[in-house]
Amino acid sequence: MEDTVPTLAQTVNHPLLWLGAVLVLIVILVQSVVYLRAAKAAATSVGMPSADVRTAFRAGGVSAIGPSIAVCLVALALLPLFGNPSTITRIGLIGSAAYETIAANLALGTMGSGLGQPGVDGNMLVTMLLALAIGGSGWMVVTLIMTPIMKRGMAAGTTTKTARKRSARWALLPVAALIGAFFTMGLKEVAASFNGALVFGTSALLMLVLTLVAKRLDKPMLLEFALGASMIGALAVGYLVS
Amino acid sequence: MSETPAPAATPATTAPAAAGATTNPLAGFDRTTSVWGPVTMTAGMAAMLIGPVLMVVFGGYEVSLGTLVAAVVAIALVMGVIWVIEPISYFPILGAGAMYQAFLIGNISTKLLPAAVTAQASIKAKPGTPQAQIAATLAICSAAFIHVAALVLVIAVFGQWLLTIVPADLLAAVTRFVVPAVLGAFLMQNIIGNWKQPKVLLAGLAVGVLVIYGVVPLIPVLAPAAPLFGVVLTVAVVMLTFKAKPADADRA
Repeated sequence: MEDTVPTLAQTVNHPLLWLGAVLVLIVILVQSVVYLRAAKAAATSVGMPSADVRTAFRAGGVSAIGPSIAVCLVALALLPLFGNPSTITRIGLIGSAAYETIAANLALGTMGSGLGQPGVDGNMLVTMLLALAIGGSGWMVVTLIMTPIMKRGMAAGTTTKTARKRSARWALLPVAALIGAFFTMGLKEVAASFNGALVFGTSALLMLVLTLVAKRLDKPMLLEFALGASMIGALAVGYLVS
Repeated sequence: MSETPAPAATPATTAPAAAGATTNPLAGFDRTTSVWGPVTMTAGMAAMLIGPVLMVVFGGYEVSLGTLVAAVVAIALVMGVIWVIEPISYFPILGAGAMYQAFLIGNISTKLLPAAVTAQASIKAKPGTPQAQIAATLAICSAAFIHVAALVLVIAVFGQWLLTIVPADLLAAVTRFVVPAVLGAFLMQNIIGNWKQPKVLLAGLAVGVLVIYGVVPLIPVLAPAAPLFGVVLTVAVVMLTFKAKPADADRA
């Protein structure tokens, strides 16, 4: 046993991974309670009625139900490979099912494998999970560093003409990076197989239709469900053709 | 109510006389979140890393440093731009306090921002007012509780059961097609969102076609780096073609 590499099934529900998942949920809850108390105190000090506080809290929760279910449905697909605790850790914190899927595929790719492929063993899973955790830290480290800086910059509040001119150009950089990355990744899926292309096309088409319908009917609420619905519709097509 | 001695309730008519902190009705909120935001975010980062780290230290699992670095670099090359651009682009929308919430739990554009906007609309709070900021914070807290509840129910409690009642071939199809199913909608979302930047969209499309149908079939070794090529080439094309405008403006 000691000389053989643990299998994926022996690894995914390891108690140490569960410990991490529970800690993640506790941190989210603690932060929310701290913020909730601070917001309620602020509401009192600006004379905001407690009915408004309750309404805002309820409205936020209700509108989060749809996206939460969509996120968990996709997370269910990660479950056989990631296991329960790691799915909670990865989906619970920054990142998304989409990001984690792509990042997991990239990480396994460097080990000569891929997401959902049979050769993934325990060591590869732990390596992948560690890489995903370090990757997820990317957002947090940038947020921790940049937020105080941007707060000061915002407080200074001066935007010179040259700064504005330069920022118009710099504003395009992240857009171009994002568009470039996702056109390439999308076309990679299209080129990989006919069924993959069909699923990709269905997903994109559903998103276009749902966005147009939401705009036509003036129902921005529809947009909340658009990504989840497009994904589910496209997966249904994938299931039917496979 | 208006006669309460609370300093924050004093109208800002005597602005020059008021000290900096008391003029901001959200000073207490800002103080709390500027301390507890970073603290809880750092704790979240530690919680995220501790499972896999303990697996290596106590669980007997072996991770080669070289493989780990290669995996992290592969992720960073594709996603690293997002780590930087997202916090910067969301800051003006979220404000400092909510940044530590949003980048802890994620799903910002698909869950947190819609929740915040819905909550603000529900109490008719005007953008930029303290009420709007408080409503957004309440909504994000509420969304975070829903987020945790959904994870506990759908993944932790019923996850394995759902897997048994959902046919294996369906899950296989979901696992196999989840990447194109996400990428299609996500790319379309970005195309619609950047519709007024046709040059960027065309550059991205042209670069994507070139890389996937030109470079990768010729040099298959480069396949894993395809997204990086997509990023670098598209950025280069867009930045170089952007030069024309300031030059024109200078001449005029």
